[in-house]
Amino acid sequence: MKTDFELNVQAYLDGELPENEVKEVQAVLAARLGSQELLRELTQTRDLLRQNEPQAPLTDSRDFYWSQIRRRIDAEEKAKTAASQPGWSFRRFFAPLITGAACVFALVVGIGKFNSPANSWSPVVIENMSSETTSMSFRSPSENLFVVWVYDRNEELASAQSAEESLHD
Amino acid sequence: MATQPDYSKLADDELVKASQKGDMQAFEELVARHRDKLYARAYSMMRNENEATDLSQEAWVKGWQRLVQFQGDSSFVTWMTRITINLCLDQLRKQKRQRAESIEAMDEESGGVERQMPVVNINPSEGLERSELRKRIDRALDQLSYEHRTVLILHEFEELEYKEIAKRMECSIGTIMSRLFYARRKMASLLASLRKEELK
Repeated sequence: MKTDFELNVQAYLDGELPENEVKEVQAVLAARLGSQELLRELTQTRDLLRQNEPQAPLTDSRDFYWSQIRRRIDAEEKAKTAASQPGWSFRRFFAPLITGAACVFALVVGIGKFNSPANSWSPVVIENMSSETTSMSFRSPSENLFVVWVYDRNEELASAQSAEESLHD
Repeated sequence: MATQPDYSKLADDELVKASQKGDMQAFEELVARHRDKLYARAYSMMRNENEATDLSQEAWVKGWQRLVQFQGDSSFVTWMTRITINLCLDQLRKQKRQRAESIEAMDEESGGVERQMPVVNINPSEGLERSELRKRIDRALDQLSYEHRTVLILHEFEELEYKEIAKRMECSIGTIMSRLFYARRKMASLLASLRKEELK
């Protein structure tokens, strides 16, 4: 078949043709001018590419390029150290769950107080059972609105630290 | 008192050994020596300067992290180049999932236009400076689909065997042979047409 034969010519050129097929391809190449031309074209292209690989100069300076790599290495090592600390995996997997539970709890308590007909102006008490989360609330009786924000305390600390670090940089 | 070694005078294997012991300055010297090659390989595959810079830097980070695994079976730069290629292939796969198949790829699936291409006599090097010839090859590479370009790069520049390319690109040897055939024929045609345009 022509297609297979063409691929065999290429495999012959690349030295990837099984030994038992080499003679067969050589015989056809000797007999067919078209196949010889194809082999010549494939050979020229291969040699031209191998001898003239395009260059792509890096424009960043040595120091700048290295500083970016160094920063990434340091960041990954810091993350790895944090991950190896005891309790990290517990916090990682259970923090969202605890946050969600705290959120639901705060909403239930808050809405219950808010809807209380006996004392619509009584202060709402939000009890946060999680050491991982913190919350903030806003209440507007005139708008009939009560909002509770619950967020990760660790993330808040981390973002404050990184903001502080970037100020020092 | 121990004196600081002159890293620029050390051989790669000495720098690798020092880096494996945690010497960051030795690793920095390795980066300085081979960053151009890694960037060039990433650029040849990604065709985008920012992505090439980012992926070549990512390769250095991975290299540092996996340095203990380097046994010296190949040269350090070959080992690093393989890491770069794998990162580029991962990135290209992600990008492929996000975009439609190229016309070239469809041609390949349907039997390929390369079978109908007339055989050409490429001689673009005639009377050309080497740098100009490289630019032409680069422009021609730009016109290939990423699948064809990648096979060509891995075979012609990295000199990998069909089997190895198939493994890295997660496809059959037959597909690699077909892609390589198409890519070579397309390159021949593109380089010949560039020559013709110049002679007009």
